[in-house]
Amino acid sequence: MNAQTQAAFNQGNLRANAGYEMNRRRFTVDPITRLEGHGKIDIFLDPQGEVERAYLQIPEVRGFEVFCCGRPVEEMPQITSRICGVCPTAHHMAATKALDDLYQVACAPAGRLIRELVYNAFTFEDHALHVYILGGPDFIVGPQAPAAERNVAGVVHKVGVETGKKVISIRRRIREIISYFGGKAIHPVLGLPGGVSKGLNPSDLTRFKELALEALEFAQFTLRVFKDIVLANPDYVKLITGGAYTHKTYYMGLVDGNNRVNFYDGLIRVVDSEGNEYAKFPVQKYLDYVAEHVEPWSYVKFCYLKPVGWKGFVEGKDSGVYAVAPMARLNAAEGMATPQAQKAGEEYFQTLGGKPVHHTLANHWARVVEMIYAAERMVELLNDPGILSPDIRVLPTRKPTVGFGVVEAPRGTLFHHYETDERGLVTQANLIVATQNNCARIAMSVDKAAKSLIHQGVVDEGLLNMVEMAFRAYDPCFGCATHSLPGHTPLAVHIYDSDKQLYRRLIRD
Amino acid sequence: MARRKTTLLLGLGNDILGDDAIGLQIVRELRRHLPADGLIEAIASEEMGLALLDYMVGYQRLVLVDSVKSGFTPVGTLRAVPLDDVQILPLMSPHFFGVSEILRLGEQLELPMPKEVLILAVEVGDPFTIHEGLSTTLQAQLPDILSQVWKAVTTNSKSLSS
Repeated sequence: MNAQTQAAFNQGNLRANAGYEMNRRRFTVDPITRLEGHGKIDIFLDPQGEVERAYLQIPEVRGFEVFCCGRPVEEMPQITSRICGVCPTAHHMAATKALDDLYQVACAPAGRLIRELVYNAFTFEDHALHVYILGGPDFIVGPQAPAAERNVAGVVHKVGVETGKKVISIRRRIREIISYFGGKAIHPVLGLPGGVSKGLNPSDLTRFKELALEALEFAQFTLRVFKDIVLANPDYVKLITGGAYTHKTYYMGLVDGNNRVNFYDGLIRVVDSEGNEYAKFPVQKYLDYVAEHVEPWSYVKFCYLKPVGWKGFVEGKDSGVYAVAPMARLNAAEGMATPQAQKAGEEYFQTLGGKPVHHTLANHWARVVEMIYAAERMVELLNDPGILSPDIRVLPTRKPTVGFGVVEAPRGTLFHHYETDERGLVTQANLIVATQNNCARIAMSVDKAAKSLIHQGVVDEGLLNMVEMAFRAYDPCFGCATHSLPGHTPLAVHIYDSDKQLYRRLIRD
Repeated sequence: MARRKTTLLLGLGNDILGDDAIGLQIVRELRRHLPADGLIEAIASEEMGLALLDYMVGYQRLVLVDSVKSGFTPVGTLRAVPLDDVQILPLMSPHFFGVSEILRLGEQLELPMPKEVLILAVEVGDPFTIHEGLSTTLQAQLPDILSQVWKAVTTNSKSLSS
């Protein structure tokens, strides 16, 4: 065979092999990769069997911008609330606020009170779901409990059927507040530029006030449950404050005029890993502070603080990695705006060694503090006589150009940014969702867990558990439809040896 | 909570995720043909997770229709999925996620949960790109899928092979 024929033969061979390889890949039974990596983790070992690097893969919904372009911008609160079956109200509200900004119209005072009421109702019910149902297996049942008990049934067993019923019932009734104003809780039609579509009928005020008070009572009850079950157990506290889930990063959250936590509105405040204010800015400046870093192995764009810069997945003041969500919000503020939540917050910081708290698992506790705040804020808002005003909307009259909106979703800071032509047709749309802000830190937690539990090629069986716990504390929501319910995080871990050959595969079913 | 209607036909999906809307489409179509006895309730929902509990409580029978992307069967294939297997389905379809947990939670809380549960999964193409409308492949098979679901709803779960 002459050289030319040999080359052609080799090339043909290569192609055939590549084709075979492709085919083989296509037939690999791997439902998780089929979903473009729902919670898929790839771990690469070095020749000694130690972890070189762990990669967290999460999916991204495609085509959002293309879908939005050319549509009337008024549709955005409806479209964006459809992206996610878990936090539609957060998207709806961020979009509505972006419309206010876009049309340069200040929301009518009564409309603002109603929006904030609905928003706190939403945060309350979402947090309640997390505390009892999603995070419950880790803290209410316990991390050391047998796998068979670390699920909803285990939670109900531990807190009792009556408490379980209470959770379901209060959550359902709080959702009625959302539906009262916005129609379906899943797709509210409440927010309009300059206001809201429905006011509060005075005849309904009393029952909502009663419901808000009941929510507050339930939040305090939840704090007691948390204290009795979690804080009374020294092993849990040790786990929370242990090094495995601790990262000293920047923290971000919305604050009111007194630097107190606010879910609906305010300035975005960032503190450094020592708790000093690093920045405070309105949402319109978010592009000056938030940048996105792309890694070749992930669909996710990892957010970081632009002025600090991307220094990799590392902690400390020189690294732009920051966190959002309950723990970060409490860190980024100087306190809670309501008395009972403030008290609960003080106890939280005192027990965990002062501000800022760097322990990821503290998110569970911070969430309970925030439940108290959400309920107290609902009571406050319903006691404001202005909420009954029929003037619920200011009609916008200015030409639209660009608008920014921000809220604190239960899972962290959520940015919406739209640009339109003069007819109000979308020309550009950008969202930064809460989980994206947290992604770098989540990736760090996963890497840390892998490094502490895999040595000399031996994989500790507790790995999945440990990674899952980190996940659940952040309460990540992967785009549209990947939120995980009780006891089952769709999660797969692939471990590769130093020759990049698949060495082990762990799947949580 | 006792309900007058005995069967719930629950379609899940997302209207702006292409083929993922199939469960919703099926319910919207079949809703128009419900028998006059009024014993079947048909609900299309984009919700997931615990929110579905409120829908399920009080019915004797639940027929759940959703999309699934397994990659093992052609687009448009309808399968009945035994409830015991739903444990592994979360990996394939997020909407399924938690159905068995929801039923179990409801029972734990002593709520009247459906005793008979039939889960129908339609194999779909791309449910991850935001766009409206079913793919042409799936659309073409919709009439056939509808008649299969209809048969399952109006007869019993045993009539459809797994």
